[in-house]
Amino acid sequence: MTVSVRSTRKTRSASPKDRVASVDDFTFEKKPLYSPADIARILDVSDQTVLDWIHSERLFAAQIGPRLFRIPLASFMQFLGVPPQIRWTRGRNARRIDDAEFEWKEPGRPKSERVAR
Amino acid sequence: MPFLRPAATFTQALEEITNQLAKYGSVDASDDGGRRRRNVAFVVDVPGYGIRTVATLEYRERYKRSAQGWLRDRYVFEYRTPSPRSRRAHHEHVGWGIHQHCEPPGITSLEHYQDVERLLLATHEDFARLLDRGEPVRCLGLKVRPPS
Repeated sequence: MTVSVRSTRKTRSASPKDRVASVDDFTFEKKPLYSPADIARILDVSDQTVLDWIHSERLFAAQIGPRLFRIPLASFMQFLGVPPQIRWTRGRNARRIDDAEFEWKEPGRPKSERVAR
Repeated sequence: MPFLRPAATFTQALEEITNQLAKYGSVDASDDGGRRRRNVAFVVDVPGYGIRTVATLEYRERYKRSAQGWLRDRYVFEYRTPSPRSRRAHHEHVGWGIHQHCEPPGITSLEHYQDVERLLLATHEDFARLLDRGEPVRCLGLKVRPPS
């Protein structure tokens, strides 16, 4: 499997063991969804290999038809070793949500319209 | 019937949800860890990784502590696209109870439609299906719901 990798100073200085892959390391075109054929082309493997990865659940893909799959960018990145982008906020720093906020997005109808109903 | 999460596995369930959501983009997750009331929220920027956002998925839930575990009493699940602007949402909250919203591309609407109780990951699958198929938001067959 050959992936187009951008050589960076950081890549050269860090030992392979410590190095965590980053999205900037990969130069292929970034788009929200990929087909198995796209992935096969990028990684220089056969379409069947990509389908095998999907069926063995090594690569997450959404099935949109009997033989149609789409692979989200995030899933592909994680397959390539890029850590998932998850930011947790816990405890006091987490946003509290009160009733007013649940209502906030919905000003509702004017009173006159409610009466009409 | 209100949705209940066992207290013993609550945090683990949140981690599993986060991992599922992270397959579609970058996730901003929060859990206030309240003792009686607990607010959790997940905002997913699709596709993430610094690429222009094509959709935002937002899942917020509020739970109340009960003898059996954490009982969900509010939720807001939203699917929004910035361009063209569209929105699909499933809510349960004061005043309206369970309902949904639907705004097809280019149309703004505050209408409330009838809905059934939704679960987070099942709703995420529905929203993800829209993304995967590249389908626009459609509002066919929805029935307007009066305030409860």
